[in-house]
Amino acid sequence: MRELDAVLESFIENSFDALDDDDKSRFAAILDLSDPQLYRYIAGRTEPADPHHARLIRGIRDSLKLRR
Amino acid sequence: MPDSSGVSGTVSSFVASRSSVLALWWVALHLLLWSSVLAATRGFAPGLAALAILAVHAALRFPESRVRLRRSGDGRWSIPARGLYDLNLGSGTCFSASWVLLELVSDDLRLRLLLLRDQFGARDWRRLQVAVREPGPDPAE
Repeated sequence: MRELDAVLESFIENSFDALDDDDKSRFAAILDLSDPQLYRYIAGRTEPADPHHARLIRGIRDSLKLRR
Repeated sequence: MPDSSGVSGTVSSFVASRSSVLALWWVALHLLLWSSVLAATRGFAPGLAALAILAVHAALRFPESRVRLRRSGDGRWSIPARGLYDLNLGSGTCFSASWVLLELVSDDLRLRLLLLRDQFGARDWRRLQVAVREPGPDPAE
């Protein structure tokens, strides 16, 4: 999934350092998900049940829009 | 959803396979050395001898790039196959989108590992990129 790689690697390079420690840990946990599940979240097809994770996923999506 | 409490809270494993980039560099380096010998000497025999020596050196001293790393939930690293545990990320650790120079330190050890992107799958590479950016344990602990 090249699109997923590009989105996540761009977020790691450009936005990860600005997260607080809790969100860094949450983001690391999100990366443990399978690629298809992550893709569904980032494409907005489903939302994580955990509100913190949902907020982070929205942040990833927003960072993508800003760079377009 | 994986556990997200604390600093990651989980153990991460990273398995670096052999690097094609490193292998190409190793072969190119030996070809360069051989061409230097050919340029500096005349005759068939010295060139053939140099080729044999360099080929043996390249084969026997091929840099081992396969390594299995573990990062515990508290941010400490280990290389179980080498019997190295409780290592902290050193200040010399640096990275880019295509490589990570991992500096692992303890009281009496400073180890540097160059990890290249082609040694990992995309998912593990992302996890490694995050692991080297995550806060480690307090050095005072």
